[in-house]
Amino acid sequence: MSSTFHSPFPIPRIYWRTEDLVVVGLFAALAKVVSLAIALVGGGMNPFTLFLKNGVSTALLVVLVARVGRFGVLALQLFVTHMVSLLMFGGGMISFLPALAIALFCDGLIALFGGYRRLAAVLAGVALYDFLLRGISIGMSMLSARENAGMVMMAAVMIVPGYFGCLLVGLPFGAKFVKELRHAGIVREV
Amino acid sequence: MNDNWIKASDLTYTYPFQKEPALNGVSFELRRGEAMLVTGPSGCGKSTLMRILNGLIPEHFRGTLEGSLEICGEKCPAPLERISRRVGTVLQNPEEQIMATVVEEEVALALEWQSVPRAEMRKRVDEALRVMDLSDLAGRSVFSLSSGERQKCVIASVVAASADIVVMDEPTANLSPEATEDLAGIVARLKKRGVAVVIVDHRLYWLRGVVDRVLVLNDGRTVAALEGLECLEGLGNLENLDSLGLRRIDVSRPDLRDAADLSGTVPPSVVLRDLSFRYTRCSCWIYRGISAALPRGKITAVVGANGAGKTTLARLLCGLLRPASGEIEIDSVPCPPRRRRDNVAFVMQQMDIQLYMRTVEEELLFSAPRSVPKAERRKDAGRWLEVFGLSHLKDRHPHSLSGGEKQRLVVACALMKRPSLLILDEPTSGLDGRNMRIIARELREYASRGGTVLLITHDLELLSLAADCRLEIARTAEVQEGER
Amino acid sequence: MRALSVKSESADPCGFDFRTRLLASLAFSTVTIYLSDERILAALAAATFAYLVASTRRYRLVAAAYALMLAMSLLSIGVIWGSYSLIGAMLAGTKMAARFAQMKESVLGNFHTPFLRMLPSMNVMLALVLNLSVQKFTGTLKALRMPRVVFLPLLVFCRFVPEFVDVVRQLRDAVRMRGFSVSFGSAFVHPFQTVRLTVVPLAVRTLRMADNLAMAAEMRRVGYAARPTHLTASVLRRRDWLMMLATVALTAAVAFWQSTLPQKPSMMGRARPSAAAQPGSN
Repeated sequence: MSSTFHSPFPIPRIYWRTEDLVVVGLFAALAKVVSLAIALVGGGMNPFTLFLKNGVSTALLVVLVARVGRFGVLALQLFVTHMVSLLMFGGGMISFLPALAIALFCDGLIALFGGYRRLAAVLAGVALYDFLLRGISIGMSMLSARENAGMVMMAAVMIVPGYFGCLLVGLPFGAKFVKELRHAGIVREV
Repeated sequence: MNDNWIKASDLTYTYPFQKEPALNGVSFELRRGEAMLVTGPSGCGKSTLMRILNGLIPEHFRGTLEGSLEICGEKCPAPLERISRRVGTVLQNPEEQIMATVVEEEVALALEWQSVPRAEMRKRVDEALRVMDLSDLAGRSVFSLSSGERQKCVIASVVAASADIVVMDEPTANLSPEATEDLAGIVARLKKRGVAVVIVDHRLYWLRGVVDRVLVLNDGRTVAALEGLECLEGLGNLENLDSLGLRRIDVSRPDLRDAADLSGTVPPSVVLRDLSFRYTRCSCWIYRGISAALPRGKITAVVGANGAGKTTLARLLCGLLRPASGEIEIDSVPCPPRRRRDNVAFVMQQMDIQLYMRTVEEELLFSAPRSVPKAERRKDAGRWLEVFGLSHLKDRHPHSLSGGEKQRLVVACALMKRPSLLILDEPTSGLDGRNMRIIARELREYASRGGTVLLITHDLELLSLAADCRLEIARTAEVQEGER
Repeated sequence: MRALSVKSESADPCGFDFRTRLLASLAFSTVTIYLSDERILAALAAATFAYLVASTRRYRLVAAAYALMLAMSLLSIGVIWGSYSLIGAMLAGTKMAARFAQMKESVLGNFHTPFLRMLPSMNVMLALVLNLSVQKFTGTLKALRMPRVVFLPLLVFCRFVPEFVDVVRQLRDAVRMRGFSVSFGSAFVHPFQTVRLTVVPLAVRTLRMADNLAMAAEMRRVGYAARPTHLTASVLRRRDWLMMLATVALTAAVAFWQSTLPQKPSMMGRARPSAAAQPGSN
């Protein structure tokens, strides 16, 4: 008398599944704690700290994007981290909209060039995303220290080690870890 | 509607992309005010059954589900929104289930999202807190609760949501024997309120006289289905209890000798002299001038109430913390923290943070001291793989192993270090009988070869099987004072 | 992390709602970007400092934060000035040397305006952070009636930051027991190994936690109700509305004042005379 009830009622189709939202929140918390821990160990403005901190954050971001694997994940991640700094520190309002536009643009690029299943597309999207966000950082420095060219120039120089961390540590290790976690069955193929 | 809260007939479920069903033709009934134990070895289909009952299958986990199921008279599967109002679930680790930061807010969370009016919500929350003896903790932060209190908090949220059925997944895995006894009382109280309770657990002894039905699964099929308050005793009569990977039913707290009593006959391996310790920025002492000796070739169990400082002792012995005064000797030589880190191996409770490499074999090789030549490291790794029954998994990713396999791997990694002292913190929580017995056997084997082991565990069965003596840690008066 | 510490709800000295503080923080930190006149910035810094002291009454903490900020600012300026000096010395005799000398001078030439611009933002941020607890944060999330897509990750974020602090501590211990250390020195010598030893276990732990937490959230339908009710309500009182009004008025006033003044030269563009200073305007 066994009868299959594979889908007897319409399972609600929602774009963002609860597990995706939970993963985004958890990774935002993890990235915050890890960045703080690295900064405490190595000092905030130390170029090597910036290199390592950004390397680890980018590797985590690649794992997050590969795990969630749907259009808008970069934008959602950015939205959440900006909301955190907005609600906790009341800052980041001015850079919010341009940064969101950049995240959506990079999400679009990933979707266009093979989608979230292709690791190469994810890596290219994350690399561009990090690069463009650094542009926003320079823009913010120009706005807040516009009377002092020397300070702005140095702020622009200080973002270079961070981007090297993204390119040399974050992306290759992120890719490696995604492959490993897929192999281990922890990150499912999208 | 009759009193049959759950009526399952021929339930078969296959996960997506899998050929074999995880659950195969399982049938049972559970009435209002009854409790049922679902047990079996790891991977037998217990968790799958739990997910079917709480509606996560097929809405959260897709796949193919066959058979028929009625929950509180409603034909299933039904939308999760409806099922979640009837069935409450308590997961193995309450800290991974709690979403609010204050006890009463956690208890109210489900009600808030059911849009229950505030006055009614307040009434139901207060009642649930009262039933669970949590009224005094209503405004407390969840971060300050013990494991047992966190679990009670989750159960209170289920009670507040007026669930007719409560499903508990490995509820005793992280509980002390006292908290486990407390939980048995809670199950009895829930039954009295007319709630049907489904308990998925490996530990069986605490459920004597508590459960009315037992369902034993193996490879997704029903091996035994027993009824009546004496059903657990019936399970004890099963001939193949051990081969099924089940735990014992008749477990009691072992009467262990004090480690100090052995000092005359067995030479000590590790000696603590006048040890005092307190955390930075904390005025109260955890230990003040304690002295103890761990006998060589013996397994010493650390005994003490929650918060007495059992894990702190382990961290001091490992050299992860520095004592305020006093010293620790290993093999009759004073051993500073850095050297202790080299000489002591520590198996922590959380397995995921102890595995880093790409394969099981690499993980073992990574654990060996760098001073050991490569060829010897490989030989050691091969030996421990063999001993712990992991040889066939040596090329697998460590994180893809099952819970029992992972636990065996982290113990093997600790032994690769060739330690003078091996410390294990709750090494068998959540493990089935088979895996627990493997760990106990290997610890005994290691001790018989002269190894010294310090065991921190709430698992009475493991203590009975493995421990030789005990080291009692009493909470210092200052700790208690500090908590007040 | 002080901002995310859990504490019991203590009496707030000024009794402002978190949303009121949030508005002040947002408004003042945004308007300071537009301001460039030292007098206005100094006036705003003084007003926000008074607000900070009155709303927190934690004088020692405020003094410590100021001392730290001053030390950090001086250190940054010193490092920047030192870097330009070093590079200038290395390029001595080349055309670039003069350019770097010019940069070096500009660092010390006008650092007080960016410094003053930082003060009001810091004051309002401290007023927000020194009164923040996880409970207030989650309470505000509920009160703001955010959609599920934002609410759920933020709820998870503030619930799990303290949990991750513990996980990171345990990971550090586990790695040390394997004979490695997650320290600055070892990260410098073995950066790739450091990344492996941290990212893999943390990512796995996070993803496993996510599975359970997602199931728990699904089973309790967290985030699905259109209009959830709340056990404890956070209500805006009269003083909150007054404070909000004062915030908006002060922000508008300083912005207007700035608009009447001639713009100073900056690297964003040439100096632009104000409307009042334009020919024929008087």
